[in-house]
Amino acid sequence: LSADRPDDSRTTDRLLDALVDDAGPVQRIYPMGRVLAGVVVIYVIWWIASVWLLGGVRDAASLTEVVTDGFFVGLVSSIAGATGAGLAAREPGRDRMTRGALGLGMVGVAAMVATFLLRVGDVGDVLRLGAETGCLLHAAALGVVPAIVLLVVALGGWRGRPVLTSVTAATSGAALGAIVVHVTCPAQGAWHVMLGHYVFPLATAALVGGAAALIWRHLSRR
Amino acid sequence: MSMAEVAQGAQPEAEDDARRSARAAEDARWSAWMAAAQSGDGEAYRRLLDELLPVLRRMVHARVFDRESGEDVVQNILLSIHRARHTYRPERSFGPWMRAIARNAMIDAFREHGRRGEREIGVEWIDDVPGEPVDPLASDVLDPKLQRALERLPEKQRQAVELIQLRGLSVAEAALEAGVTPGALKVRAHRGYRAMRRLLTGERA
Repeated sequence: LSADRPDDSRTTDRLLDALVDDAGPVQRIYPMGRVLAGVVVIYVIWWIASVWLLGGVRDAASLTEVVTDGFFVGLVSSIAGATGAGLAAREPGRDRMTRGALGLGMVGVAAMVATFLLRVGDVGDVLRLGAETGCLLHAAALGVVPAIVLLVVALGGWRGRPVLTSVTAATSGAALGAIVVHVTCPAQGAWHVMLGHYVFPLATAALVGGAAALIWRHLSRR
Repeated sequence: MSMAEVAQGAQPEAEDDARRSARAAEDARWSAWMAAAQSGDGEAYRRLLDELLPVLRRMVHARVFDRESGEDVVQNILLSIHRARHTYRPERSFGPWMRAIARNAMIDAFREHGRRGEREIGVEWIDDVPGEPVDPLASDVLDPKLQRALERLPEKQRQAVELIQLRGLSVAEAALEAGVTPGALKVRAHRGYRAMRRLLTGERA
């Protein structure tokens, strides 16, 4: 017995009948613009609340200085890229948006790497893995809620690309957590920011997201 | 340039324009039917699926699928379109939406095809069961040993085996009834067959 019996046009006709019989009214997904705006509002509120809870923007830094920083720009681009790709995956045929969002994410990576290379030689910039781990944990913890928000929104749409959806939701949430950590953490050495505020949180999130999608797919087939 | 040359040059352009407007009209028609189907209009949905079927068949058979498995893929695409119909927004073009779902289903089929060699279970194990050979489709005369083995399967596996082998549904139909993806249903069926084989050969020993 093969798993699938030979399917011919007769069974296709039967399937069409079954699909038409099953075609009750459905709630159409919300337009992309409205969904995107909703997610941005939730992210901004979460970011402001988290920064406030962690004691505000780090000492001796003006808001202008923070938002024009290359690392900040890189993180924001990464969030935008991951969020855009996650939302695009909920609608079939949004290939251009997916490509654009992933491109934006790559711009974020480039901004991070470029800023890192420009600053890596700074005096006193040393690697302390304990500090990086602390920031990773903070970023991961602060990223859970936004990741779940994006995941729920994405799963309300098309579920055809579970790995992309899961990985982008996890990295988007982790990047938002990382940006909270970045503006509140007093340590601003290039190594620390690159690893503790970017590479570790996002790589961990991508791995967890990918693994979760594969486990979910496996369990759903049991 | 003579008038005849000008006319010759203009002909392909006119044909392109005609093709483009025919495609636009088709897209608008499908979009309207899908919008109506989203509101529960079964008649519009039937017309849409009837028009999509030959398009999907052409799309699938243009790839490397043989006729039999190609039809299976077409059914999976139809099921995927059905499950994703709430994700269509009428202000967007229908074609790219439909093609993205079709492409995704075809990629799944290619992956499945690649794994199938490792997982396929031959029909010969049924012949290993003592007693008269049994037509697995004739549920009313199902061999008691097969029946017992079937009853001992986990519920989801039993359902998959029954839908495909006893009720004779296609994978897509069975997946629709079970409320899972065709891939998930195939995996459950495969696990069911494997478990039944173990149970049956165990009984014989």
